[in-house]
Amino acid sequence: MAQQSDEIIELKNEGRVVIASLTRGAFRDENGVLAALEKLGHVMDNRQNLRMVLDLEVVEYMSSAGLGRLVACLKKARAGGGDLILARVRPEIYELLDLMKLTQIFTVMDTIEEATKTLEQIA
Amino acid sequence: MEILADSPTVPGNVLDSREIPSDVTLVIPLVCRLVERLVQDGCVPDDDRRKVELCLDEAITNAVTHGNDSDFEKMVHVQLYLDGDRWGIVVTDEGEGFTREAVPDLEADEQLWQESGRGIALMCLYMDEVTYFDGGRTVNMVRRCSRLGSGE
Repeated sequence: MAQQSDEIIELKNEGRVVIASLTRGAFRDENGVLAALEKLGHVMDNRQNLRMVLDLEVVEYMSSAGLGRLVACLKKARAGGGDLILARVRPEIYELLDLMKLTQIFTVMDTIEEATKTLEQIA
Repeated sequence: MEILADSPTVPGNVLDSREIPSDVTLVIPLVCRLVERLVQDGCVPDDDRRKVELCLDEAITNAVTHGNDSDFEKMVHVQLYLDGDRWGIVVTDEGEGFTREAVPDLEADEQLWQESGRGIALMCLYMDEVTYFDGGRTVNMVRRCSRLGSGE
């Protein structure tokens, strides 16, 4: 996957791992965040063994629609034999994930480096 | 969360009353305006702003997308009110309503992989009361004013 960039999401390769970073994530950007996660889902369609870090550092707000799109991305990664790890999740977003029990299905890590290393170690 | 057949009565003083056509891009600007009013009136502390924004976003987005099926010709009506030591919001759509069975039971582990259906659960987490009326076409959500406690 070549490095790509658009208004609200950036994709880059780090070895065998794709790092997807949202570039805006304030409350007023919610529709853009939803569109970005939708687009990310399309990028993941039919990709085998995709290892992706989703960097949420700038995301301050997420609705149930956003949580649903995160789940959709995780399902696509796992369905293709790959995985997706969330990195740099803000406390308020982590609280939502936890309250909705989604920390039972998502792996969440503090840094992109830690998440990348973990994904590189998958056989 | 209850779904009642009758219509709600808006108690107390109406702080704001608005309506929007069913377009999701109009939801966030409306929520910003309503929450700003609640913060200015001392009903919501800054620390709780994000939780209240989330609840209003979920309720109004549900009305737009599920209630009115994003039909621009159908309106969503919103009333913000103060009732003693509590504030509330009534959101009404022009759709067909829904039943309790249509809402997934997120307590079940097999529902963790659902891609939708968490909106009402989030509203119930952060509001003190969430009640649906008119067979699901109207929701009334209530929370204690911050000056008398955060309601959590």
